[in-house]
Amino acid sequence: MEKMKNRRRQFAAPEDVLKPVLPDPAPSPVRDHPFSRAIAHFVAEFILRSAESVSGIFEHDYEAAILFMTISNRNSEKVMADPRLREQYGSYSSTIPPEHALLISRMALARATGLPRETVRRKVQKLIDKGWVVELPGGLRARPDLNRHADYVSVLEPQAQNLRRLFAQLLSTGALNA
Amino acid sequence: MTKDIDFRLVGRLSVAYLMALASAAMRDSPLDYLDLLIVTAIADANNRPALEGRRGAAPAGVSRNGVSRKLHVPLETVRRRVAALIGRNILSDREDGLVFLPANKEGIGSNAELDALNLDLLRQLFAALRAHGVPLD
Repeated sequence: MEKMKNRRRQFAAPEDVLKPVLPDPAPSPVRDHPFSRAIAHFVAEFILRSAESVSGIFEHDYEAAILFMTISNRNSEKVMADPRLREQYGSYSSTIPPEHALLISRMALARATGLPRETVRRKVQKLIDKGWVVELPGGLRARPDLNRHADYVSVLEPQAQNLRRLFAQLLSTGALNA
Repeated sequence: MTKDIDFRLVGRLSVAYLMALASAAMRDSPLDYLDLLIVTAIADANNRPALEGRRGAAPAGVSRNGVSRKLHVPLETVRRRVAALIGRNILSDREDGLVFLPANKEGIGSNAELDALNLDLLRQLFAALRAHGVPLD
C-alpha cells in the first residue's frame, strides 16, 4: 500500500503553473504583438494538421516522414530555385529529370535533420523497402513516379487547404503586415 | 480548384517552412522532432480556453492518452517522452493533465528569437506562395 502511494503522480498546483520562474524579459515586438498567443496557436495547429496528414502514410513514424520530406525537398531544390525550371517542373504532373534533381547522402541527411546516423540509416532503408526512395550512385532520391501514387497525392491535396486556413487566420490578426 | 494549384510548390515551400522552424527550435535544444510535436500538441490543447475568449483562464491540461490519440504515437512512447520533458521542466503534470511551461530553460517557448524567426518565415512563405499565384485568402 505504501509502495502504491509512493508511485502516485505528484501534481503541480494550477496557480503555481501561472507563476513565472524566469525574470521579466526585454520587450519584444513579436511576443508583445496583441495576437502573439493566437499566432503561436494557429501555427501549432498548422504543424499538427500537417504532421497528421503526412505521418499517416508513414505509419506515424515521424522520423521517417521528416527524412522523406528532407530527401524530396533536396531533390527539387534546383528546380524550385530557378524560375525557368520551376515553370517547367513546378507541377507534380511533370517529373524532374535526373540532370536537375539534386541527390542527398545519408550523412547530409543526418546533418540536416539532427538525427543520429544509425537512425538515418535504418529509416532510409525502411523508405527504400517501402519503395518511396531510391538509391542512385550520387545519393538518395524520392521515387520519381510517386506523383502517380494515390496515397502520396492524398497527402498533398489537404496541404493547400491547410495553408489557406493558416493564412486566413494570420491575416485576421494582422501578423503578416511587415 | 485543385487543378489550378501548384502542389509541388505548395508542398515544397510549406515543408521548407516546417523544416526551417523545427531545425531552429532544435538547434540549441536537447529535444528531437517527436518531443517537439508532443510539446506542440500539449501547448495547443493548453491554449484553447484563452483562445475561446475565457480571459485569465488557466491553461487546460491534456492527458497522455489525449496526446497519444492526437499524434497516433503509442501511449508508452508518450509516457516515456513526457516523463523526460517533465524532468526538464518543459512540462508540468497537473490534476487535469499536462501543461506546457513556456518559461523553461531549454528555449522552447518564450523564445523571442525563435518567435521572430517564425514570423519572418511565415511572411516569406506567404509572399512566395502569393508570388506564385497560390490562392490564400
